[in-house]
Amino acid sequence: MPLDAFQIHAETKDGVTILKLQGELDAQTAVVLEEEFEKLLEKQNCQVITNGQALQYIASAGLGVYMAYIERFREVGGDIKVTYLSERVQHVFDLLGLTKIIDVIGTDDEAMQRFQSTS
Amino acid sequence: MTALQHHLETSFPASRAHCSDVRALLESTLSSLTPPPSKDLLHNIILATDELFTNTVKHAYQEDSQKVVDIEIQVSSDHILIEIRHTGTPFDPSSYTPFDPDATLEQRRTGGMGVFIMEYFADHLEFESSRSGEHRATLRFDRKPKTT
Repeated sequence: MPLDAFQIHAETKDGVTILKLQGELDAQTAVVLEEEFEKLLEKQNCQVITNGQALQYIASAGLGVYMAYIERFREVGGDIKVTYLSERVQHVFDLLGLTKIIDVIGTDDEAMQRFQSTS
Repeated sequence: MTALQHHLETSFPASRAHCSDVRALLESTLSSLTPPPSKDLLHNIILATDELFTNTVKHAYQEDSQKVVDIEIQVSSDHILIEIRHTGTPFDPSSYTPFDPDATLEQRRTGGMGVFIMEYFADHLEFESSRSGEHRATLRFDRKPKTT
């Protein structure tokens, strides 16, 4: 699959980086999200929202990226919050217990509020 | 034994780049059935097969894209069978530590998520090895609602 079958559009709002995920996140494209998280850590942009409104599909490799990076963001005082998941994608998050360790929230505004209330 | 409604065999190079091709094949093949599987069942079949194909590429063939993964789809009125065959390193259930979705972040490991997904979504999952060196994994999905 061409890597552009999964794309990330990044924007920053009040110090929080919002990553809008688009397409299919699988074993081939997971590296795109991994590289994006790595860049944010390098720049010390450690408050991150991943918006899944246009995320059509996720396989375990995509969830593995969240699991690999969530602690690294928290260690530097940040977090990854997840918003706007479709029912199917959220089911996979639930199934693998990701919703127990990552904040999965309805909207970006709610996620922003949680960042503001903890900073 | 019920008659097959549809039967397809094909192969893909052992590369993650073909995960989406496997998904597209399943989507087009299964959507054309009469009646087609529900959208939820179709998603579950696609996800479980994607995980099996990915594990075959990663663990059986260690990402060697010169190798080939064979896929067979058998559809009857009762079930949909997906079989993946390879000649690489077989899956050894005795060395596999099951994934625990209730583990804390500190205890958590990412390995085993694919098998966990396959076991959850398929009605039956089986791994077989033969002396000839061909190994197969079969996912079975029942088409009829379960009766109690």
